Amino acid sequence: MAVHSLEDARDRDLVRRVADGDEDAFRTLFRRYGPVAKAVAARLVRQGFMAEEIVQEAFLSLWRAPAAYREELGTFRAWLLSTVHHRAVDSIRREEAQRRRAADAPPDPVTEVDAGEVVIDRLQAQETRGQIRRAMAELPPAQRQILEMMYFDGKTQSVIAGELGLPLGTVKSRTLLGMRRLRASLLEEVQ
Amino acid sequence: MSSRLPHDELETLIVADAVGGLEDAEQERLARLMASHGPDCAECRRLVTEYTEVAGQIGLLLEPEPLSAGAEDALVTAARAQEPSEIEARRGWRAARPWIAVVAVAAAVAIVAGVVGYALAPNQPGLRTITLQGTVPGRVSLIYQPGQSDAVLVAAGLPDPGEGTVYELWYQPSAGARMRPAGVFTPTDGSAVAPARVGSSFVVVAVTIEPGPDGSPQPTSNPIFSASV
Repeated sequence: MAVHSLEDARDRDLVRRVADGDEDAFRTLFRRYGPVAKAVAARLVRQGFMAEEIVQEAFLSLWRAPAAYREELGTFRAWLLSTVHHRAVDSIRREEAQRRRAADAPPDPVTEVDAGEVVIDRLQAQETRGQIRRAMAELPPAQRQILEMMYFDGKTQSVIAGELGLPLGTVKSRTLLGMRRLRASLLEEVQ
Repeated sequence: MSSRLPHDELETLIVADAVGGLEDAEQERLARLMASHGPDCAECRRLVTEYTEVAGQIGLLLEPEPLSAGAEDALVTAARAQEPSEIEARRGWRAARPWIAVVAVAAAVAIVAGVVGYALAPNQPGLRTITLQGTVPGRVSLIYQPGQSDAVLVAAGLPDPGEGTVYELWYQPSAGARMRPAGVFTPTDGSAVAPARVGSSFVVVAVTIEPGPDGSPQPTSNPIFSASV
């Protein structure tokens, strides 16, 4: 996949510096993506301290083995968020009891704090977020619902099929169609 | 390759995996399918890359959450405490003594010339070379400077350590002390030139095969190369 933007190129340079043991580069990546990574983890595990622990583990893993991120497999941001998401999903599936306790609690409130320099440039972040919102809004509601249950609630396709009373095959096909649509909307614009 | 591969089925699994929707058994099935399909399949790589990107963008819908005070410093402190660390070795490789770079070049030349273990750094005063005796084919040598922890490991003719495993170098600081990790390495075509951290003094060095990619904090198998100083 081609480098989409200067941000991507800058991230890749930072990861290369991390591979050389550059702490400043490591801190920069953490400041830039730690908050959004924490948001992803917190949405799943519903506890701030656990979310932060997951993010820290993901970054420590990068520090130990920066080669785990391979430039030819996409942007650093996507790789990091995928890593954090998978870790968070694993966490809630391992600790079902903890999840049940947290299930009654409302999701963490949306943070209004200005991310400032700690996240990707704010204007670009807003533009990106707006683009994603539009792409999600254009999905048929049935497809959007399933993707949201999977990504934001960490539910498997089997669980979703049970909860919605749908055949598993239907959930799988809606997942596939929804992601294909998103791919077309989000990736074609930058290629 | 893709003509004989069930890409539709793979895509269904890859998509679900990207958004975390697979059960453990399905994840294993995906891994098996992709392995049997061929790790070099460009279409599979493209699907994984693009759907990972899409999933990552879904995550951007969430408002970033501020990290707790001190999280950054705590992370860096934890990173510094990662011992053994490839990073430490890398840092030593790039930033430490110039002799390492000189030795590395000499070692690479020596490997090409097939003379690993012999006079690797003849023009570097104060350096010593120790050749480890092995129970498997291949040669392993360590170039070090007494009193300094930076070293360079040079190997040639080594067998592949096996899937999911790496070679790990160890040193014993003094007689009776426990073995300390000095770095991991994976040979390419049987050869390796890798930075190592052996401590300022040691009496034994050894190599074992350990789980990858980071190796083990303590040896979990018998040494296949070793030497006493």
